Amino acid sequence: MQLNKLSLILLTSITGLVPILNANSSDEVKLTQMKYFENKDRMKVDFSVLDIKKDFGTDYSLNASLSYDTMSGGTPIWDSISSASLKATGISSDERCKTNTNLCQNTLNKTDLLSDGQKDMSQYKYKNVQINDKRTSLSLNLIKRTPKRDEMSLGFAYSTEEDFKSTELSTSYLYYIDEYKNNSISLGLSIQNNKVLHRRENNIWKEFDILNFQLGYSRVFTKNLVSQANIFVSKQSGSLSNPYQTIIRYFDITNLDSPSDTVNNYFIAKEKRPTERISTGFSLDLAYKIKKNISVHTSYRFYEDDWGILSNTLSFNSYIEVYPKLTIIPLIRYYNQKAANFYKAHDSKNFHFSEGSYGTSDERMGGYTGITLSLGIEYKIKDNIDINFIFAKQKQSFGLKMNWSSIGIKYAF
Amino acid sequence: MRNKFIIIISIVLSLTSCSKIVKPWEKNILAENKMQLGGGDSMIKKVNEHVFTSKEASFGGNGIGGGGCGCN
Repeated sequence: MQLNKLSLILLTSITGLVPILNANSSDEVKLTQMKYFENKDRMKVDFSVLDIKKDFGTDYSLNASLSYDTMSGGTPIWDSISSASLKATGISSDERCKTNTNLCQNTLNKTDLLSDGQKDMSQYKYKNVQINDKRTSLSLNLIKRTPKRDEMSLGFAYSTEEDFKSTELSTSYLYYIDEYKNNSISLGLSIQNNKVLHRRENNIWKEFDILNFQLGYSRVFTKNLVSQANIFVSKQSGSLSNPYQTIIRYFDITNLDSPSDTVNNYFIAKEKRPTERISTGFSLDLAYKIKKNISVHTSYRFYEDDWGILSNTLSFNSYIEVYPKLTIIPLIRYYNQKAANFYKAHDSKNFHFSEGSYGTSDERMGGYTGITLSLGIEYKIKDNIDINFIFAKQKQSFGLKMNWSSIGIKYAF
Repeated sequence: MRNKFIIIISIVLSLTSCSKIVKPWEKNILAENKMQLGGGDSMIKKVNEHVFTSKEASFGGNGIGGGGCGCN
C-alpha cells in the first residue's frame, strides 16, 4: 500500500536522527504503542516502535529504532461502481461507438487508462477501496563527538513492505562556533532510494530517489531560552506517481477519419505526477522555560515546491509539571496547505483531466487546513522509569477526522 | 519564500539583543529532555509526527542533524 510511503520513510530518517538533540546522558530503552483511527470508514493503524539509545564513553552514541506498522481500512479512489476489477478492452461502452463501429478509436494502446470509455459518470464512483498492509523499518544513527564536542553523525534507515522498499544513508555535522558553545551550525545530507511495486503494470518495480539537504543555526540566548533556524532543500526524481491512486480523464475518442460526430468519453486512469519535485523551506524552533515547572515550545515551518504546494505549519506545546512525578503536555498545531497545481478534487465541478495531462485526485495533494489538539501525560513511576500517554485528534477542512492515542514506557539505565 | 525567510532571520537577530553568554555550568535547564528543540521529548514527537507526515504533502525542516545547546 502506498498511502504515503515517502512520508513514512522520511519519518523513519527523521526519528532516527532527532536524538542528536538529546542531551540526556543516560542510556535508554523506549517502547511505544499507538492506535490510530479515521472517520468515514477510512484507515486504522497500529504502530509499535522500540527505541534504544546507548552511549559508548563520552564520545560515541548509538540510536537504534525498530518499528512495525499494520494498516487496514478504506482509502478513497475513483473506481467502478460495481467494484468489479477494472479491465480495459479498448472498446468504448458508448452506444454511439457501438452503432457506428468506425466512429471511435480503440483505446487499448493508451496504457494509462484502466477502463473503457463511458459516455457519462454513472458507472464510476469515488469510494473507499480496502487496503491491508504491514511495514517494518529499522534506523540506526551513530554520533561521534570531537575533542571540541562538535558532533558528526552517520545514519542508515531501511523500510520494507510487500510493495515498497526504501534505503537511506544520511550524515550530519554539528559545529560549535564559539568557546561557550552557545552558537552552532549544523549541516545534514541524506540520500534515499525507493522501490515501488506497480501491480497494475505487470508487477514491475519502479524507483525514485530523494536527496535532502538541511542547514541549521542554533543559538542559546539565555540559560532558559534556546532557538534554532533551518533551511532545507529536497529533490525527488523518478517514478513519483502513486500506483494506487486513480483519476477521471475525459477526452474525444473520435477517429480522425470520422469527422461527422465528436464522442467524448470518461475513463478511469492512473494518476500522473511529474517525475521531478524540488522542495524548499525553512523552519524556526524555540524552547523557553518560563517558570521552574513550565516550559513552552513554539515552531513555525514554511514549505513550497515546484508542484505548486505551499504550506504553513504553526505549533505550540508546553510541559507543565503538575507535581514532581506528573507532567502534562498540551499541544495545538495549525497546518494549512495549498493544492498541487495538477490536483482536482473528486467533488469539484471540474473534476476530470484531459488526455495525457498531469493529474491527481489524492486528497493529500489538495488544499486544506488541519487543526490538531493533543494532550500528553508523563508519569514517573521510578527515578529511571517513565510512562506516557497521548490523546490527540485532528480535523481537516474537507471533513476527515482522525483520532490517535498511545502508551509508552521509557527505562533509563 | 525570500521575504518570509528575511522575516525569520530578522526575528532571530532581534532576539540576539536579549542574549547573553551562557556558561557551560548554567546549562542544566537546557539539558532537560523537555527543553530539547523540536518540541521536547522525542517519544511524543515521534507519535504525532507519524500521523502528520503520512497525511500531508509537505515535509522537511526537522530531520538530518539538528542544533546543539552545548550540553554534551
